[in-house]
Amino acid sequence: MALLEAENVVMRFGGVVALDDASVDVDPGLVTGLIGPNGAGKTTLFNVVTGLLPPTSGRVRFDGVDITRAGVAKRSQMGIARTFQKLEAFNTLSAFDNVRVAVEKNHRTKWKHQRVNDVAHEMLGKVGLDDVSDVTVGTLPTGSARLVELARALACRPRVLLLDEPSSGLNEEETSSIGQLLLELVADKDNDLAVLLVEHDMSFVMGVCTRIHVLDFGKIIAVGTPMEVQGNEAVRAAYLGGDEFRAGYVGVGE
Amino acid sequence: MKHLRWIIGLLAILALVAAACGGNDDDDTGAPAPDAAPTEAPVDDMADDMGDDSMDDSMDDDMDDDMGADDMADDMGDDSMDDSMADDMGDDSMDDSMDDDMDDADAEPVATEEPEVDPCANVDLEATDIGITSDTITVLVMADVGSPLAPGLFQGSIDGVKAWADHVNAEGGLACRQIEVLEHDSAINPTETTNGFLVACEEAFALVGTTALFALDTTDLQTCSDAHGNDIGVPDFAYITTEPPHQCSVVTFATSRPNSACPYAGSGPRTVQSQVGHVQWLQENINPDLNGVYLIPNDLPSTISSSMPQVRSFQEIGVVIDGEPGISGFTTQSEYGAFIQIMRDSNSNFAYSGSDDQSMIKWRSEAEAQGFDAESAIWMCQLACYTPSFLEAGDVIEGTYTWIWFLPFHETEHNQELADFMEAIDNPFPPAWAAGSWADGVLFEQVVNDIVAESGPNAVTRQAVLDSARGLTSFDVNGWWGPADYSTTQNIMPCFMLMQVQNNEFVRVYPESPGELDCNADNVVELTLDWLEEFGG
Amino acid sequence: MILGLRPPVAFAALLAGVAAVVIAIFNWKGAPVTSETFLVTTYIGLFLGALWAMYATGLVVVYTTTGVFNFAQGAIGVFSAFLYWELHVNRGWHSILALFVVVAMFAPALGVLLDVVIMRRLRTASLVVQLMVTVAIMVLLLSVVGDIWEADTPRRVPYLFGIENGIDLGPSQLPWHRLIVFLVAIAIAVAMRFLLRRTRIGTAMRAVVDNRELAALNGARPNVVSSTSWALGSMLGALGGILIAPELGLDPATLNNVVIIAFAAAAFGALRNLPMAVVGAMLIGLLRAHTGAWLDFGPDYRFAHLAVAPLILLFVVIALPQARLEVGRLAHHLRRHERYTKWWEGLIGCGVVILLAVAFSGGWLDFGVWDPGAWGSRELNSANEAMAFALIGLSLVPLIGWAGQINFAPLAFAGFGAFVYLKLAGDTGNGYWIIVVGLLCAPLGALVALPAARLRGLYLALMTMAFAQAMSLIFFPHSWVMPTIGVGRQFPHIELFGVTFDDRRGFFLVMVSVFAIFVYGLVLLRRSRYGRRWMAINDSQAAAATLGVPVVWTKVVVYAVSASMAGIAGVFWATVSGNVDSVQGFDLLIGFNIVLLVAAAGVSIPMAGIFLIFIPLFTGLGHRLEDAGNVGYLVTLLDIMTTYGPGLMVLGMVFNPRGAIFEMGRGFAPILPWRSDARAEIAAENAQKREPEIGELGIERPFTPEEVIAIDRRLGILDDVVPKEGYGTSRS
Repeated sequence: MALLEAENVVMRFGGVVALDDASVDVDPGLVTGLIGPNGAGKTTLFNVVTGLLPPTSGRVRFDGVDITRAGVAKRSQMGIARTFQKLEAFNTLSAFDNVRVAVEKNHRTKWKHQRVNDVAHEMLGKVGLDDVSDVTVGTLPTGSARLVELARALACRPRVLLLDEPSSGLNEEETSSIGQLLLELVADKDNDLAVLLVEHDMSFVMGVCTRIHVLDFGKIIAVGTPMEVQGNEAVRAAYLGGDEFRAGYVGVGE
Repeated sequence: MKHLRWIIGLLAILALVAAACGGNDDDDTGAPAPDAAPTEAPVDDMADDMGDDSMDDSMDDDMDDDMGADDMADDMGDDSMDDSMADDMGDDSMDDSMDDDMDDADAEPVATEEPEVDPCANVDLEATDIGITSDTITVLVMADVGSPLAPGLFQGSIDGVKAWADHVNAEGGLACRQIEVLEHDSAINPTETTNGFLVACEEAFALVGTTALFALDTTDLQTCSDAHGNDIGVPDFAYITTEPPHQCSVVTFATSRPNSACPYAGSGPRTVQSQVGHVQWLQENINPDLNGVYLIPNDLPSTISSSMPQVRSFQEIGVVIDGEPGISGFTTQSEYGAFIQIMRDSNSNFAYSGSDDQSMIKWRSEAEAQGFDAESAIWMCQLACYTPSFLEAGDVIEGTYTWIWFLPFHETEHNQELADFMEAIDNPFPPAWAAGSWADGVLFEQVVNDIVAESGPNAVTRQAVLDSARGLTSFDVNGWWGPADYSTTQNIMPCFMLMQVQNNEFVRVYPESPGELDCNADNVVELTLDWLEEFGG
Repeated sequence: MILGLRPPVAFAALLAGVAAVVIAIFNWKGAPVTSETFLVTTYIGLFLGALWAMYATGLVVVYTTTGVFNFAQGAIGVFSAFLYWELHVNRGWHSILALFVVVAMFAPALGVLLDVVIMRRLRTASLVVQLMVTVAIMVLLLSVVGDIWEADTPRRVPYLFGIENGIDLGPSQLPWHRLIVFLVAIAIAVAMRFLLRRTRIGTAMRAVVDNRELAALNGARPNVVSSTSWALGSMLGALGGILIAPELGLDPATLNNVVIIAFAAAAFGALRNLPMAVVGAMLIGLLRAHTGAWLDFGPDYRFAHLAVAPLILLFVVIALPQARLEVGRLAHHLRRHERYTKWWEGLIGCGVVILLAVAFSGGWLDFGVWDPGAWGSRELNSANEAMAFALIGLSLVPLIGWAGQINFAPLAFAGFGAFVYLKLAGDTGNGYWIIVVGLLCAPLGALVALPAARLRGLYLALMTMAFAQAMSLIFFPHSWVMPTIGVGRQFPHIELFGVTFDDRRGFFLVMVSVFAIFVYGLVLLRRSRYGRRWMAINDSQAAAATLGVPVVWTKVVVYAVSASMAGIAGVFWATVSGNVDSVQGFDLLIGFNIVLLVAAAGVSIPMAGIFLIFIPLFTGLGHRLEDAGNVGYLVTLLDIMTTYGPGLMVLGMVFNPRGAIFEMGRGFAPILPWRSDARAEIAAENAQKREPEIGELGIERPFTPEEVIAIDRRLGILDDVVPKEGYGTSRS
């Protein structure tokens, strides 16, 4: 049984259907990919899974428990952590404090009373941000701020980690080190970690993911290994056959 | 670690405070020593029971700064004051000049004394008290003027006192000195009002024309020190006193005589006098069976407590009250429709507003809007409607009765004081508080002149002014107002005159002859009730 | 679902209904119920509702189309009503001409001006800045009105259509004026609904607030659209002001307070739903008219029928569904290094504060031309009051400065503290009870925040406003809560450590010590996990929640802390004045001013709170200057600054959202010998400011990926296309 399952999730906003009967499952020890053109509903799915949006219908299960109605903080305590596509770092706090907020909350439950500062330093070190730990995040470059979000999510000691375009804003070298980090994290049996990754950088996705879900217009159109997905006709159509607007990597944030 | 930081922090702060307070203690114990000079001894017993030490000390400090060079003068002032006090005991000549008839306004107090001897001749004028120098008397006028949202509210009071001072100075001054006027804006704010009292204590001889609605703390007013170190307070010749602490202040003499008994604890029954002469006149001359609605301004407890006694005293003389609803500044005109409805349901023939001109305008406008027959009722209002802006409302207020306790502004040829006022104030229809504050000036003038006539211009001290004012049994603003007794704290003027708006003008209705007020003692009804409890809502 | 309502809402409605019936039975006046009275009362209620609906319509239009909730709506009405009076009554213009000039020319011009100069820049600002700026505009407009049209001349605005004639309703009549106003209000609401829903410009207007860039791509011109919104909103405010002025009289404060009723009406429509807002306005009007006509609340609850609006707002807030956590609204900041105030720095700061206060109050230092001199009783008295306000101001630091939550009710909490102290300490003045006061005020703060903490910040702000109003209308006027003042002090001098602080100088120093303890406590609090957590929920509630931080609970806690501090401050305030006047003392507008000052100061770093000490320290200055005589222009300047200063300072937030004191602190820090970090930061900034070399602009070398991303972000073409509604910010 998968660690995290989203079953037949439908999300409607007025007349717009953002998710249409989408199902995704994530297993521990793997990096699972979620790809799709802009506007396909990937971020919406993340919001449903983390509790920021209540789905119109459908179920979300974590470790066999139905969490569709659970609050955001409750899900976090159960072990779901995420980063955001559009930065949601605590801009007025330093990188170190961003992580500390997360550690402090999970101090007793997940870190077995290790010293808060030690854990925070360790997490920052993992993403390679030791040298900017006292810099206000609002002034860091986008890529570094994303890494702060990642460190912050790791500081929750999650069992499922949802990453929303972690590589945007990073250069190739940094991207590959993030990929490396993800692979190390899921490989570590102690962590028992599952990663769900939304990503536009195809080589990155293909490099780290074991399974990939493809979302288009709110529907899951394909599930499989990177090789299977790359060969899928529907996926090719979604990426290439669409209108110019979607194919041209042009999108506008809200 | 964390706890340690807290403790260190707190200790350090406490240490600093201790050091700071220690420094302050030095002030307290060190400075007053020179003040405790033998001169203070004779009057000590009068002052001691009033205040607390440390507050006085700080006063002393400040005073030393101001008065430093005048120590000699202080000593002499003390002597002369003691003299005047001794003289006061068995002397009632002061009252003689008060017995004049109301209509008799030609004699100014100073003028009567002129033929005998010029009190200013051959006298070395002295700085006898705070606010008095050899050639000036400083008075402070405090009024609610500058509120951010209502600038200029009681500006008329300040204008009135300044006009009075100019008038007196032009005629030769007061106690052989010129009057200087300080202004203080109490800003409809309790703290600024207290500040005004404090400034008066330190810089002025007396308060004249006080028009402050929020005199909630009169401790300083009543207990601050004079130049001789006595905690006697500063004389306060006020126009209105709205709050019990001000009404019951032992140094306050209000020309709109307070109607409520003192002392008052703030709750429970209180004896209150009410003027009912104007309603009695309606009963006798227009309709013996009055029944109607009385509007209670309910913005503040004090406005309720001052209106409810009038309602109950109207009932006492046989008026049937059909409703006594509360209104506030937030009551929209259409909400007055509810009061019209009460009048319809009860066939009311009487409509009385305890509130202001704007409220009466709203009421009558709403009556018109609802098609209520205005002729079927007597509409009546108080001094607050005697304003130019009331007349500006036009036809809608036609026929409204208004009563006041002084001769109306247009009757200048019937009273010299009124004529002087109207000339000095330079406003064809001044606000009532200008008149009230002018009256305060005249009251102060009279009290000081009495002292001068008695003991000379160097006898004018705060103590002497307080004593003299407390002994004043009849004062009528030289015939412009009705006579009132200032020797008791509670004693309203029994006088009234009635006007009606006719053709957009205030027209005298009763007494019929111009220059007259009705001062029958039966005009006053006295009741004892818990007034706030009486109010229904 | 019961009658189409969700169960909690249905339950709340049922509860409110039962409470209303109980209140009605117990306060029944006993007046005869005739159909005529009922009819008249109903039409009065509907007419009042129509006037408020007009204000509410303006609020909703502006909020729906610009995302800014305009606290100045009422003040625009006040200004317009005075202008109309000036033209029509004072200068004798024909009423139609005056109306046209004010409503169709002046008001839209004012709206466009506000938009161009101020509002446009607020689009991405934080809620604190948005709200504070409109409040500042309100205060400024009212000050201008007060300065131009002085209160010593009473004014009346005549009815637009005459009031003598009307439809005959048996013995009563319905004047044409009211019928027309009612119809106009309904027509405007319908027209606005049509404009927003059915026309191209309306669609563009709504689209712009949801997604400015997307709307721009589709051909809407966002600036034109937002100017149109503000012009429309301003016109509706002006019309409302002119039509309600004859009803209420032309008094700025009274007229302005009407808008609070409109807030409740707008909230009834969830701030976006026009028909519901109109229904809300009518409901409030009917309730108010009928309670006035049939119920008698007695002296203690004499303002109860005026409290209908705040109570409706409270009900709406409870009934509203849980808000979704917003994402994607982060503002960018200029600060580079995060640095905590060291605990010993806090100590030094507090020490300096105490020394300064001692020096000022004792007159031990010579300040040259600006010599404040030895404070006399008057200066001390003012300083003591200002000190109490400074304490109340400090209570807002964690709330506004850190957690980004607004509280318009600091004075209500302070008043509650004073009340608790009065009941506990009685006439003993025992200072130890102050600690208990602090403990008892905390749950009140929590209770106020609880219903609204799950909603967006704006509702919390409105909720605190409703709370402040309800307290000053129902709670404080009660004679048991604040007994009528008799002779002497209601609040005895405070006694601590066996010393009675009955002289003003000693008491001033006591308050300074409490101030120092507060500041030091804030320094430590800011360094603690709670401080971090509060800052975190200010930056991103969604992210904080995904880290396991209970957002609602965290907000409730910060309100509790703030209320506790304000309650303690309230004890000192009450003791300063000796008496607490129930109506004036806890007035909403004074509360606005304190909040404005604190917000303008930008007290997000605890040490900045120390600067509040200068408010009491400088209180005596104007008086001293006047005494000095030859510095008249300084006095004038001071007058202008006290009237317009707070408002102007807040307007400065448009350009510098972190507030004045923050910038002062930045300038000051490098001077301190141990702050080498601050010096390095300034140096780094200066280095950055130099002109970029041509080679750095991508001509000699290609853009780095980071620069590309930065440019993409700037152009807004990076992110997923997700409907704005995806994050729950718009539900209509």
